[in-house]
Amino acid sequence: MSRDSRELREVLSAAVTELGGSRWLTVVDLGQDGVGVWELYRDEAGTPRGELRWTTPWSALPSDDAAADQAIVDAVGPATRIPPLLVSTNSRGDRGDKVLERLGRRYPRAAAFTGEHPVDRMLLKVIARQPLTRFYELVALRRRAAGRLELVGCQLFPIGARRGDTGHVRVRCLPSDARGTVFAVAAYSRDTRFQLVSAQAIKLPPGVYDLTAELRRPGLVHFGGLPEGAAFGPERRAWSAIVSAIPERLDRATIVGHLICAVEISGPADRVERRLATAARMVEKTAAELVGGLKVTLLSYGPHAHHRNGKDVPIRFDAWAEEPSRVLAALRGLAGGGPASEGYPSAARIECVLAEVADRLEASPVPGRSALLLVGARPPCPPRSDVSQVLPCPRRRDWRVELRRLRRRGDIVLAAVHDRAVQTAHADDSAWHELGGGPPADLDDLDDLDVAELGAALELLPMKGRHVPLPLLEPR
Amino acid sequence: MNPQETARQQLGHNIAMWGTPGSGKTTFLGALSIALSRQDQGWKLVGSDVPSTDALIKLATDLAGQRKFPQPTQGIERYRWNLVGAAPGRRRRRPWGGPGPEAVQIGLDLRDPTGEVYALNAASEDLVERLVKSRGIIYLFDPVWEFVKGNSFDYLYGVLLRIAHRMVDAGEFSDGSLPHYLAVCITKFDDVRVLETAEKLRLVTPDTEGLLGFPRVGDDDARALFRWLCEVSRSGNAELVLNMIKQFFHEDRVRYYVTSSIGFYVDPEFRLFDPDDVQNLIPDPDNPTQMKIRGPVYPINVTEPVTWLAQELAAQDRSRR
Ligand SMILES: Nc1nc2c(ncn2[C@@H]2O[C@H](COP(=O)(O)OP(=O)(O)OP(=O)(O)O)[C@@H](O)[C@H]2O)c(=O)[nH]1
Ligand SMILES: [Mg+2]
Repeated sequence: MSRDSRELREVLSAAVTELGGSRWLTVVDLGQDGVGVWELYRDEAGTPRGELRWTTPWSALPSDDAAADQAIVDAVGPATRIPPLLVSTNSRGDRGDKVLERLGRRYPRAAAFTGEHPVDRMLLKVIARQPLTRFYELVALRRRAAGRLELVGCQLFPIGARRGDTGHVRVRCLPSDARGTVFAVAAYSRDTRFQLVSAQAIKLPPGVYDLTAELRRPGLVHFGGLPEGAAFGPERRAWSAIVSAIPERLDRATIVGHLICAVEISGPADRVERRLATAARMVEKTAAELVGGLKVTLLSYGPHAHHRNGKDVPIRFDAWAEEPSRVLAALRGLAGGGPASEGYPSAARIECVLAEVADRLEASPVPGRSALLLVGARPPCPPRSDVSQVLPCPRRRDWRVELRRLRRRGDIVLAAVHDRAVQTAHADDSAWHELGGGPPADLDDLDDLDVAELGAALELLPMKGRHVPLPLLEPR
Repeated sequence: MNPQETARQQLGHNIAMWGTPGSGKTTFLGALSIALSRQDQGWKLVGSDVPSTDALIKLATDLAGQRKFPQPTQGIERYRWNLVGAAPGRRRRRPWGGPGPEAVQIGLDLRDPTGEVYALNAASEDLVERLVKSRGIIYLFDPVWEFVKGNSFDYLYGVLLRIAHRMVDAGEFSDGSLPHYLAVCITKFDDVRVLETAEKLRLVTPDTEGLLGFPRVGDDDARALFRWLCEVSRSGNAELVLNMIKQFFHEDRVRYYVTSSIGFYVDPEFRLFDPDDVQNLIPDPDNPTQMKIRGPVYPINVTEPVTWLAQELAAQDRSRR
């Protein structure tokens, strides 16, 4: 006695719903071209799966009926608590129906069907329409006290959700390594453990994303709301490897930052332009990595007027804690300003830059951490005459004192890019070492990697190995 | 006055500048007239022939006006200048209304060679001859050169021996010393390296007499500073400079001075010396590899060695007369 396709779908569907644990279902598919034995089960994450365990074309089946039946029975394996489902879709030849009949006798409790549609397609549909038996969650991170990172699940779909259902989530992608940010979906229910359903990686510019998750079928979640051109790739790492790549803590600086660019604009015009271009690269790079999180200050400075009748040009603040785009425009304006005056060639007023930045930070604090990037050629003025023969700051400011004052704040880091091509009276660049807290980067020898490293030194960009592999949950 | 003496008076006392290249000989001479006018003690410097007058003007105006150092000397320059001063008591009118005393006038016949001529084996017979005749020598010891090169001795030894040789021949070396008067001038006291060395040795006292309050090294301490500078010299040979001077000159004919032709920086507006900002050199804006003078020129101990020599030589003449 055979039943039709519609009934078959219902039976299959009910059977799949019943699956779980060690209960699996075998489907014998007596199809157009041959015989297949399917095994339907739920994986650890509760996702129903159909697997073709055995297949053979009709031509390869022994012509002797008994031998042919035995081959199929062997493929089905020892009888289980659930009898196999027998389906014949071999509408043309009658061999399928005959085998169906004989197998029906071998498995008296088995349900037998005849139909027109191939079983594999029907299985796919049935599985795709299964409601979820567990909650689906996006695996994300949450920032706890002191910047500690904690793994959390953010529910995408409840139990019972079906194909086509959608869920919404807001995340922040942080700077990631070359593989990108991993979007992992986990299944969870009260009596099962958290299980990974799927994991895909995508390289996204850091920033906040409002994502729409769509359930395509159990085990397959599609994410929409990503920038054009960005595509997911498979994530093949073991889950434990991803988890161990999560930094223990996330400093605020990695999220909100205030970049202060102090550019020396004295000396040959081409050198000055180079310095401004480097500052612009730095602003662009950090702005790209910290979408919406970066404020930038731009100031330019030159030497003191030690020469007779020299004009003492004050430090110029072109922007204070403004949007990166405004600062980039200001930088372009400075670059087009023509050659600046040479002035006293042996030093520039770095000591005043440090003092004025400290004053301003005190007067109008900027949230988050600040990073001071010095780009210049000349050393600071000493506070008093010394053997360097560099003339002292007319205000007798001591750059080492100002440096300590800034550092004592605890919320500012410094880095330096030294323009070595401009010869100053003293080849010794120890002051630049001290200012940058190590050997300064060389203006003429700065590639993108160095810019990134500079950003890392300024704690605006993640340091090597300080990437964050998972998205950070953002409040909606 | 016999004709010979008149001639000598006209020619003036032979004084030679001695020192390594760049030790500041020409600058020193340029600073001389500036120093005299700053001191305002009635002394002035005038040329005794046209070229010498022109040179006097140029040296002083370059230094004080242009704030430029002289070019390195080529060969040997000769300046014939007169140190003219009022006789003591000129302000008091004579009760009988007669003419005032004659102004004191000391002729200087200065030889300013390039330091190169003193290099080992470089001295010509002509130079040695002139040095034999110069009874006054202004020896400029450049501590900066000695810090960097450390071979001042090489510029002293050869020529000194050849002078001694000539003196022995002329029978003027009988007591084992040269008859010359020697003013040993440590130059470039304004250089922070020199000043700091003197400060570390606690040889510096503030000048309480001068208006500006410049640091000063007294004449007694100058010798101690010179000894120290010789001892710490790069080569170690500078100690020999000290020994040479001791061996070849009468102890009472040698004096030590700590000098600076340009002096320390003085803010032109406030006319004040600031111990935190002493350097009077600044890179030349037209040629940043060269140094220029930053502010006004306030020479230190430039007139003292010259007037000392002039007076000693004049006294010697008088006693011979
Ligand atoms: N700091 C400082 N530097 C001086 C002083 N006098 C001279 N100098 C420096 O020494 C350099 C040489 O000075 P000169 O006066 O030309 O020296 P010189 O001994 O005549 O040199 P030659 O003619 O080449 O033998 C100058 O260009 C200055 O840089 C001084 O009083 N103080
Ligand atoms: Mg000279």
